[in-house]
Amino acid sequence: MADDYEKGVFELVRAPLEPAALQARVAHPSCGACACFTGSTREQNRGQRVVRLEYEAFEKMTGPEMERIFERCRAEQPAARLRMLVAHRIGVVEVGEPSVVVAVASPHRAEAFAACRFLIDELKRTLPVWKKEIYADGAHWIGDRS
Amino acid sequence: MDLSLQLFAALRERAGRPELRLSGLAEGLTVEDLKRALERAHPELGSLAHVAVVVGTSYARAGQKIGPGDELALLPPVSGG
Repeated sequence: MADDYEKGVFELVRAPLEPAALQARVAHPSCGACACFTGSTREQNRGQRVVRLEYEAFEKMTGPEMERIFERCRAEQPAARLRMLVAHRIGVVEVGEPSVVVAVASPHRAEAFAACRFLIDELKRTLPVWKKEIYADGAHWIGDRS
Repeated sequence: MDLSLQLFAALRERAGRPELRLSGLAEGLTVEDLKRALERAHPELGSLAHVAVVVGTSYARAGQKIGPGDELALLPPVSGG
């Protein structure tokens, strides 16, 4: 029976992410495979020691844009049964904490791996979220090219 | 035509505020025209070559025309994940 996870569920979260709990939500007796990607904040970047990160989002757009990403993901594998959940942190994230979790369950592993990879790659390309690295002596918005 | 635009991340910090207003714009201007007008009126934003324009909650298409009442936002390159 279809539920929200087959369409794809997205959450912006202000508290620490728990990958195991998120992964458990997409599990289903019909699914023998679950691929779960966790992205965490690095202690070093651009040769500098990162003190913490701050994530900002265009919150009103994140839901609609993630819906479009889920749609593109389903279109990539129209025959596959996919159960998808994406959770992204917002606000201050300490070094070493998960900032994003992508969990996909499917009857077989190839479809789950492919969808998980597609979702993280596409959200990094188009989801309106920005990461600011705070160093001991400054800060930098990642991706800024002006 | 008058327009206001929401700013995010590095653009918001460069502007020193979360929203900009532009007035006296021609009706029917395109996304590209809007970016050129912004670069002239607000040089503090820097180059907008890599900046995306959003209308409502969707990325604007190349050549898309902007109308009065459109809710606009300027997005620097995203860096989530």
